[in-house]
Amino acid sequence: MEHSSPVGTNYLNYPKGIWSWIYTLDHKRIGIMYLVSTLFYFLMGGIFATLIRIEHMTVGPGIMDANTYNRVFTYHGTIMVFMVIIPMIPAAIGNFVLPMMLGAKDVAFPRLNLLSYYIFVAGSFLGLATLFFKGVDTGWTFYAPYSTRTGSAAAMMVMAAFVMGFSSILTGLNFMATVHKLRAPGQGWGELPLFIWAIYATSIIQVLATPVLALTLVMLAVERIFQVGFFDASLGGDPVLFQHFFWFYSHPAVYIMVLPAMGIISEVVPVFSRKPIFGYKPMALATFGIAFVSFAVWGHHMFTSGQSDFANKVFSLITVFVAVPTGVKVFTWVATMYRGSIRLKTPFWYALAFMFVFVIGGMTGMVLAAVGADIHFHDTYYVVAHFHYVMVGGTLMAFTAGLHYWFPKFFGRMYNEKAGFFGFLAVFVGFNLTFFPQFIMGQLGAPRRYYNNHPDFHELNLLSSYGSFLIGLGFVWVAIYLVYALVKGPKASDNPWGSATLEWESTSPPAMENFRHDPKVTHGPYDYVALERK
Amino acid sequence: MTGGLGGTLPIQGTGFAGSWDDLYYFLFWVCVVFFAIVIIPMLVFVIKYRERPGIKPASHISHNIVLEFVWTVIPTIVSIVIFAWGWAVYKESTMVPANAMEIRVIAKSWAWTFQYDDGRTTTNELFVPVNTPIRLTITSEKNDVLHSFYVPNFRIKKDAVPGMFSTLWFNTPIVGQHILFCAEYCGADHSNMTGKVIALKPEDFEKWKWGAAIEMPPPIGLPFVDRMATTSTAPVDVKTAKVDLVKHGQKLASQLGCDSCHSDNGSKMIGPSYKGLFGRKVELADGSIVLADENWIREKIETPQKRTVKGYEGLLMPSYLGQLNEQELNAMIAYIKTLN
Repeated sequence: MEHSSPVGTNYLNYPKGIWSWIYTLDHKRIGIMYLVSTLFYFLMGGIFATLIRIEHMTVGPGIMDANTYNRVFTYHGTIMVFMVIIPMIPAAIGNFVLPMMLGAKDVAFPRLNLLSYYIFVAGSFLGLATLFFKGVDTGWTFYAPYSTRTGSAAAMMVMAAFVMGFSSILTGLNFMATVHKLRAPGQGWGELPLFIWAIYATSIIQVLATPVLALTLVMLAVERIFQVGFFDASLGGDPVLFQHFFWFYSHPAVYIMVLPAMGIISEVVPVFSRKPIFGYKPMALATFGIAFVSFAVWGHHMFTSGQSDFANKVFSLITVFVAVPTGVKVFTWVATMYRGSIRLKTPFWYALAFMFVFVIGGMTGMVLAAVGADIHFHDTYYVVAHFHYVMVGGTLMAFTAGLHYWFPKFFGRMYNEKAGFFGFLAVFVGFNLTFFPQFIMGQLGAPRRYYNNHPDFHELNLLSSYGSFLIGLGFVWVAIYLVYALVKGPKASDNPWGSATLEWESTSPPAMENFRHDPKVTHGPYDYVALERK
Repeated sequence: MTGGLGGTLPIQGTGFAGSWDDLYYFLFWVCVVFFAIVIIPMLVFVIKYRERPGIKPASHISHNIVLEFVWTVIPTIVSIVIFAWGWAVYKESTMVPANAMEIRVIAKSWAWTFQYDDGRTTTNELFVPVNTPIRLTITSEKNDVLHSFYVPNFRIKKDAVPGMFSTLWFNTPIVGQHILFCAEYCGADHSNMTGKVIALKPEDFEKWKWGAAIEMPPPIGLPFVDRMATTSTAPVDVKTAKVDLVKHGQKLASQLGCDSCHSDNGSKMIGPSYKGLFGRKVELADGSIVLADENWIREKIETPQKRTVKGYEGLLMPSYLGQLNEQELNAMIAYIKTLN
C-alpha cells in the first residue's frame, strides 16, 4: 500500500494549520483533542475537589456558605464523572490506540468519530454554562424530587448529560464496528489485545445503557418544564422510580469507567514483566462477565430507599458475584508477574498502585454489597471512600499508567523516569492519605454531602485535606515534567518498552495513516519471545 | 464507652448494632485477608523477579487450570457467605416486634417531626423509653424532597420518601442522647438537619408523657464525643395541646365525609368498611392481591382510581390528594388501625 503523506512527517505536523485539526478525521488527532479536553476538565474537577477539602479544614463555616458548597460538590462530581472518568480512557486513549492495535488506518466511521467529539464538546460547554445560571446543587445523581424542585439550573445540566450521552453512544458504536471490521490480517478474536476486549465490552454497555439515561433525563426535564408528574409525589409521581432509572444506567456506567482501566493494566503488566498475560481467555471472559452482571445490580444503590425486601435480597445476591470475575482479573495480573523480569518503570509503578488501591476499593464494595452492612454505611463517607478508591484509585491510576505508557507513541518523546517516579509517589501517598481516613469517618457514621461536619470528624477531615493537597501537587508535577518532555524530551524509539501489540510497529509518533505497510499479525499480543526473534 | 475496631465504630446502642458489628468484623477480616493474598505476592514478585542480567522470564507459563479453578471457586463461596450473612442481618432489621410502640416520623426541609399516639408532636427530639421496641413509620412531606433517618449508634437508616411510608425499628437499652442525622442530601441545610434520639428511663418517659419536667440524659455516641458533651440538664417543658391521634382520625373521617361511604362496623355501604381492613389481604379487580398496610390506605385516600378493589368496580371515589397533610394522614391510619 502506498502511503499518502510525505516521508518524515507524522500526524502531529502533517497536514498543518489549525483547520486541519478542527476538521480532522484522523482518530489520533481526535484522540489527542479528547485528551486535552478531558485533562482540562480534570483540572477543573480537581479545583472543585480542592475547594471542598479546604472547606472541610474548618469546623463550621469556612471559605464558603452552604449553598456554594452544594454547588461545588455537584460540579466536582458531574465534571469528574461525565467529562473526565467516562470519556478519559475510551475516548482519549482508546481513540488513539484502538485502531492502531488492530492495525487499521482509522476507526470504521471517521466522520462519526469527529461528530461525537463535537457533541461531547457541546454537551460539556452546556454543562459548564450552568455556572452562569445560578449553578447546579443537586449532586451528580440528580435525585428527584430535589432536582425537579430546586431553583438552580438543574434542567440545563441534565440536558448537558443527555447530550454527552449521545457522544458516548456514537463512540461505542464506532469502536464496535471497528473491532469487527478492521482487524489486521491474521488477527483473530483470540489475538486481540485485552485492552481491545475491555473497550469492546465497554462499548456494548455504552450503547445499551446510555439510552436509558437519556430517557430518564428527558423525563426529568419534562417534569421540570411541563409539571408532568413522573417522580414528584405531589404531582402523583414516584421519587424512587427516578432512582431505578438513574442507576439502571449509572451502575453499568461504573463499569464504563473501570473496564477500560482494567484493559490498560492488562497491557502494562505483561509488557513490564516481559511475560505473556497469565490466562488470556479467562481474562477476556471475565471482562464480559463483569459487563453482563453490571446490568442486573443497579438496585444495590437503593437498599435504604424503601424498595421491597425481595428486591434488596436479589440485588445483594447478584452484586456479590461481581467479585468473582473481578477477582479473576486481579489474581491474573499478580500471576503474570510471577517469574517475570520486571522493569520498574513509571507505567508499572502506576499499575502496582492500581492493584493496591483497587483491591481496597473492590473489597469494600463487597462490604457494601452485603445488604445488612450497607444499612449503616449507605450515604456515609464509607461509600465516598469506596468509590474514590475504585474511580480515582482505579481508573485514574490506570489512566496515568496508560498516559506514560503510550506517551512516547503519542508524541514521539520520552519523559524523565525519575521525575515520573516522584510524581507517582506523591499521587499514591496523597491518594491514600485523602481517602483512607474517609473509611473511618464512614464507620463512625459521618453522612456524605455535609457542609457542616460534626466536630468529632475534624482530625480525620484535616488528614484527608492534607492528602488531597499532596495529590494536587503530584499531578501538577506530572503535568510539569510531561509538558517539558513534550518540548525537550529525548526522541523516543518506535517501540521503547518492547511491546508486542501492533501500535508499536508504527513510527513514534505515527504517520498520518498509522503504518508505512499494512501490518500482518505473526505473533500474539504478549508474545515477547517471538518479538525478540523478529 | 467506645465502639469496636479500636473505637472506629460507634457504640452499640441496640442489640441489632451488636449483630451488625459481628457482620462487619467478619467482612473487615475478609477484606484484610484478601488484601494480603493479593498484595503480599505482588510485593514479593516485584522484589524477587525484578529485571536482572542473565535471568530470562519464564515465558512458557501461560495458564494453570487448577490455579484458575481455585481462584474462581473460593471467591464464589466467600461471596455467597457474605450475601447470606448480610441478608440475615438485614432481615433482623426488618423484623418489627409485634408489641412495638409506634411513633410517626415526618421529615421536611429541614426538620424532623415526631408524632406520638396521644397526638403530641416534637421537633428534632425523639423521646423514647429504653428497653422498649419502637416502630417508626417514616415519610416526608408531600411537596418536599427525600430525607433519610439515620442513627449511627443504632446502625439503622431508612429514606423518608414523599408519598410513601417506610418502617424502621429499634430497641435501645442505653439511656442518653443519640445523634440523629439526615443521610439523604436535601439542600442548603442538609447538614444541619440533625436531631437526637433521647432515650429515657421508663419512669422518666412516663413523666415526660404527662408534661412534667425531666432531666435530660447525657449525649453519648460518637467516640470522641466527650469534649462536645455539653450536657444539658434543662427540664423539658411540654405544653403542646394534645389531641389523641385516634380521636383526631375519627373526627377527620366524619368531617371529610369519609363515613358517608365507609362504615366502621363492617357493614357494606357504598365503599368497603374500615372494620378489619388493616393488615388484611385485599383482592383487586384485576385478580392481584395487595396487603392493606399504611401505604395502601394512603393510596386509596390520595389516588383512589389507581387500583380498584374487587366488587367495587366503576365507583368513583374522589381523590383527597393535598387535602390531608402528613399528620392528618397518620391520624386517619391510626384510627383505621383501631377498627380491627
